[in-house]
Amino acid sequence: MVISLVMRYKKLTTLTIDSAQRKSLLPWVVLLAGFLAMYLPTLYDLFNGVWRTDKQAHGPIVLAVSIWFFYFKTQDLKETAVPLKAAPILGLVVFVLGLLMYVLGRSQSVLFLEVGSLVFILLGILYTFWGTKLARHYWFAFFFLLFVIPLPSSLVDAATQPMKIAASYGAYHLLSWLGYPVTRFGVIINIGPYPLFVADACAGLNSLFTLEALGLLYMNIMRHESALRNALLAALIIPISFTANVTRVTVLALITYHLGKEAGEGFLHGFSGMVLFMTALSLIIVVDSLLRKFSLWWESKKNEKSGMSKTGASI
Amino acid sequence: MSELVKISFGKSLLLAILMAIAAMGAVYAKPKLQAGKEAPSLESIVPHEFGDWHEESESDQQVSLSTDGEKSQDQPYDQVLSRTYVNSSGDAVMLALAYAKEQKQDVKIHRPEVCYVAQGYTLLSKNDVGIFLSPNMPTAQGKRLLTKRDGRIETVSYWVRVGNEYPRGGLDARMVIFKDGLKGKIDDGILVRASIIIPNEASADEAFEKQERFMADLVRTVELTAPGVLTKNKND
Repeated sequence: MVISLVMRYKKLTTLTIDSAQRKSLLPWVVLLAGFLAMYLPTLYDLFNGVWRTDKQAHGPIVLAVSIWFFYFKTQDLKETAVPLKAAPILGLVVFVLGLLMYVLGRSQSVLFLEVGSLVFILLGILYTFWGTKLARHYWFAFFFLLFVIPLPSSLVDAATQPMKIAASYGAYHLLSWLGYPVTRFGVIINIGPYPLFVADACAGLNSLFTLEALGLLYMNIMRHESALRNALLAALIIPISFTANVTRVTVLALITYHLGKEAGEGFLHGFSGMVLFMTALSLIIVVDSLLRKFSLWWESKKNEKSGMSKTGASI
Repeated sequence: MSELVKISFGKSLLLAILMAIAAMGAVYAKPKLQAGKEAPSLESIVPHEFGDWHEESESDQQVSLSTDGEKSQDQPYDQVLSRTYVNSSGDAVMLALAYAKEQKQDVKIHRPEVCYVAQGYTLLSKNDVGIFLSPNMPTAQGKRLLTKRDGRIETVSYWVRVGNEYPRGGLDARMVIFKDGLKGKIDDGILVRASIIIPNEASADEAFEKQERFMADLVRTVELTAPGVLTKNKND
């Protein structure tokens, strides 16, 4: 027991004392320290600010997935040979651009610039040490990182209102088709005695972006054969997310109508996000399998045609 | 793989120093709230009687200043005031003020065209207007809206002051906040809105002029005790 402990201790000390290892680790530590000096305060503000609001609550999930994806692509490197050729000048240009964005964004609380700078800083570092080929290996990880950037508030404001009105419009029509006593004024739905305000969160902008991001990730990892099918699915996520939102608002209205205001509020805070994601997820799966069937049918038809023309030519 | 792990110490030191400078630069460049500038109390600076106008208990329900029913932290205002005034000839004007002491990029004043539409009103028209206040004050750059919901037609005139500007749109407002921020200044902001319920669209022009004269009267009175709250400062 004691011996094994001593041995383990020796192993540990030899590990830490290994000077070659330390030498290669030191630059990483320095780099990480600088990076954290910039982005720890940003992360702190995000967690205590926009990521706590309903509108941009998808941030942490997308960030976690994004970090995981960088890790995934790094593991991937063991099997793929990527030629390394440092591009320090290009790297420094991109890096400094990122720094400027950061200083402007952070000091003036323009989150879009502040968090957006992360992409430039990471890309700049990659270029500086390893060059463009490696950056290309990570391209989807960088693309995915874009979804972490909080949308500029002017864009959110401009898009939220029509999406809210559309969601209430859809829910209103569905409910009146089902025979419920509903009226609608803008984003206010009156069902029986209860007025319901369709809140900003119900506009579904955040769920749209989360679904789009996760959908794209799914397709990238699955490496679907057909580009057309990928593009179609990416485009269809928009109506899917809208349908899921209408479902959420309708379910909320029904619960309030049948079980009272308190039940509705309980549902709103606890369960409505779940309904949204379940609806969206099942719709995506259904649409994806339909698309697969369609593309298989399309391929076979194309093959038939080309086969026929070939035989025609030979005759 | 080993090529990936071994990176040059010189390069990483340079990048780290640059990142540390940026982190400090951002803290240094952050605008600070002007000390000693107390937020005015709207309730106390807006008189219950001025000129030919006196306050009446709110009979008509005013259109709320927010876009939804949420009483959340999202609420961007520090103070709101909503009153109805009448004059000797029996005209009634509704006044709504919303003041925010700190205007930041992500929290800003909701514009009436957004609030009214959110509450089920249709915008029949929307035009820019310069509202004359007094000979020695700059014209307030605002908007005229004609709105309708069911049988209720309402003329709305308003302006938004951010810092020392009258931005006409959300993007304009953000530019003002950004520019003043670079000078190290945090802007305050106010929405000044007056509206009249009219029987038909034909009387809209008359109502617009009436409510804008009311706004000018109000500004001239408030300016005596609390200059630069509702409007831009003269000296700019």
